[in-house]
Amino acid sequence: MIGGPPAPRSRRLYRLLLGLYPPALRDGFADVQADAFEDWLSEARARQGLAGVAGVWGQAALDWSWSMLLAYRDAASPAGAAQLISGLLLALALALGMWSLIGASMLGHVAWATDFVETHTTPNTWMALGAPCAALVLAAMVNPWRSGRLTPLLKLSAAVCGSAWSLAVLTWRG
Amino acid sequence: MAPVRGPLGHVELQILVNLAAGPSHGYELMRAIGVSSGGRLKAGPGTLYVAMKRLVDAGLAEELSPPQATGRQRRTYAITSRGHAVMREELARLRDIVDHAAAAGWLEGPRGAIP
Repeated sequence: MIGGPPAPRSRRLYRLLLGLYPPALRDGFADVQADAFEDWLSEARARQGLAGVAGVWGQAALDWSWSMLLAYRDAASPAGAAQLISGLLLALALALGMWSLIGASMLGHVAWATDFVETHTTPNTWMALGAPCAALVLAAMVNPWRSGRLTPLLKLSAAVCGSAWSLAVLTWRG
Repeated sequence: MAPVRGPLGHVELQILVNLAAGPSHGYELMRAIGVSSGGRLKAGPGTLYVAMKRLVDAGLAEELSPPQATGRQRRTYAITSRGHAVMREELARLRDIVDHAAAAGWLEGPRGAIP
């Protein structure tokens, strides 16, 4: 993220996350939302450098998780209950995965994070937590997964597996 | 057109109030909401556009410029006449609450500190 042109790379990553919104929001607003994120990130980077970028990503992760819940609640209908549940579980799994990746990427820069890891867990735990959840993030972006009759079942299965794995590893603590 | 469900949320109302001052785009609105709320309310892009979709669906706000085919899509939004009416109703409702609280003496003392 740091070094080289950060905004387009960050924008692409953020835009990928927006692919998990309900179609009605994603199709109408994902591009302009990515624009707003890019403006936000650019200004924070110009003002505060690395700390600004990290701060924006942290806030954006929370904002993304919360807005995902709001968006699926807005899109919910009795017929879409399965999609709502799978979407919420998927959001939980992805939020856990994203936070683990952000945490892992900051280990070398933030003293308290290094202390926390040395005290409470091991790097292998972070890897074990981050790898499957990152894979889940990427898999969720694959088009066939978002379309077709098996979509709700596939999302639900992946979300349950991802959440269970993340929680199990968090509890295990290496 | 989707009906407005109950009182407007804080973010929706802040968007309408800021759009009433003139058309605006996403990041401009994010900053304006932070300023107009005294820094108490921070709306990220996700929260902002979920709220914006509700407003557009309800006919309270509208998109001014269509998205461009290539390059940066700087989409601008404006408040509609219906949006103006709903905003005024909502502000009047909030003013009634504040007036009632003031009459009961709850607003005495420094701002932000409820005695």
